[in-house]
Amino acid sequence: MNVRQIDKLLVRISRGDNDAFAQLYEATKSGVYSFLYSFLQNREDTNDALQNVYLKIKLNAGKYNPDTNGRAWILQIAKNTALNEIYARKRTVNIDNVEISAHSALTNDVADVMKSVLSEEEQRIVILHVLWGYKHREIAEQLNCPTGTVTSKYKRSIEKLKQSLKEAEV
Amino acid sequence: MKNWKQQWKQQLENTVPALDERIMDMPITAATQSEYNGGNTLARKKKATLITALTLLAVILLGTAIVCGIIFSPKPVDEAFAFTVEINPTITIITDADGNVTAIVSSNSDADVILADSAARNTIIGKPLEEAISWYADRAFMLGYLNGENNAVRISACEKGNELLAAAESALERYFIEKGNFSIVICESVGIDEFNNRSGLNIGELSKSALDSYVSEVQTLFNDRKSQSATVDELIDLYKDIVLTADLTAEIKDFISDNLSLIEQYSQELADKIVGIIDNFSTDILLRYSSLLDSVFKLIGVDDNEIIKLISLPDSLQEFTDKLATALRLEFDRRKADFEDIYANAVAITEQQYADFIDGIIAEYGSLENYWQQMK
Repeated sequence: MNVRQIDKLLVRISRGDNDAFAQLYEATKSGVYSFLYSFLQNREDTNDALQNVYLKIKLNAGKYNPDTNGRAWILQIAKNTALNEIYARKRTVNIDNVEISAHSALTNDVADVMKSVLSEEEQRIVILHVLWGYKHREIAEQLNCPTGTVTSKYKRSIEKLKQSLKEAEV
Repeated sequence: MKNWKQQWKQQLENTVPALDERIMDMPITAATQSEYNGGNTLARKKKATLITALTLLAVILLGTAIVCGIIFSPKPVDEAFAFTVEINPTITIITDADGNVTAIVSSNSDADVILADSAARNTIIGKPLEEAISWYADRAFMLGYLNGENNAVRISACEKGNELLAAAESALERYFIEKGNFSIVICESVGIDEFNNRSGLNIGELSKSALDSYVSEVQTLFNDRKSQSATVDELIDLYKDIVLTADLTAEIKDFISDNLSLIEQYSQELADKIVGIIDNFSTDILLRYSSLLDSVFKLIGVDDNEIIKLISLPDSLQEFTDKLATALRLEFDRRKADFEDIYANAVAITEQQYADFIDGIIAEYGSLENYWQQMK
């Protein structure tokens, strides 16, 4: 789903259209889920945060400015939700708190492989580009770093990911 | 191999849970006219068109002015950047808006060893950040701080300066490749609170004027800052902790042993007593007998040795500062000599070797950040 389609759905939602909300959920849930997971690093917290994000979208759709960037608006809500979750539980995401998938090196679950071989930032770059359709330049603006850095990190991330998935298939 | 993107999306379809029915069914309160900014679509579109036209005109005028060389874009005059570089010795570098170094301070005792030489550290004032960080890494390597296992450098930018950070990261990686040093480089941008936590400083505002004011008031060296408000007793404790290190104590013990034959010429009894001191040597013993040792060395004519001057405790801040400077210089020379061979014989590695090393760390630890958390 592209930015304009998300924008149109948000406008409809703000007018009370629940069908539009259901459509938005179906279209964006994977992207929001993956984005949250890159912060929270475990499925349970991510599931809870996912519900909170869409609740906030429904409650605040009226505050969305049409013809701006609905995609960024949704991701900002997701990011704030994830960070609030982290701060509220006074938990830093480190190796001790991260959900360790057994035999993650041999799993073909892409999300698990991403978590095991990519840094949080690399995960986010891949998620924004592949699931949300962000260009590298747009990601660089979001992360406040040079476009070249995003490009090289994305390339390296994909190489690592492919290698690990290939090993899992053998 | 199946397309991994398709695989991922399919897996997400199976993983992402359904939305709670209560949320899905919850009615949406339609936005009021005042809340919904899209109410007057036609008026907004007209306004948007006018704004677009004016913007286009401004761009044309600006472009013309630039071509004519009338306007230049000066960087904000009050902008500055702050970076902390953690190896184990940790320093903080302040730069101006162009990324040139304006100040450098040490953030722990080991960094005092590296920065104690004011002439050396002043050579990087005015230089670009990447050059300063490479200089610092080089000195750390020379003094053995990057020779063990688990070598890593973390560079933290305070809130902004990611372009400078990226350039510093590249320069540092190039340095490690040239020196054949397998050290990882991690770069992060953090908020002021976290930056102060990592740097040990107390930066309040990230502007040139505020930072200039801050660095003008703080001492460059970590232990000089620490000693500023210390009582005499606190200074003594600090002195024992920082100056009378195990290395220095060992050096003093060696010095005494080396000059024992001179002492014997004056008095066998005195020499025997001193042997007793050496056999039970410790910092407390050293301090307990500092007056005796001082007298003995005067007797045998070696009392102007720098090491011996460090035995007695300072009784003023100035004396503490002077002795600390001596101790730091001796520590610098000692470490330089200890690691001279390793530093001088460093052989470059290839970019591929370095990349493989990084990949190996990531494969084992999940990420460079995880590696840092575990190792440091």
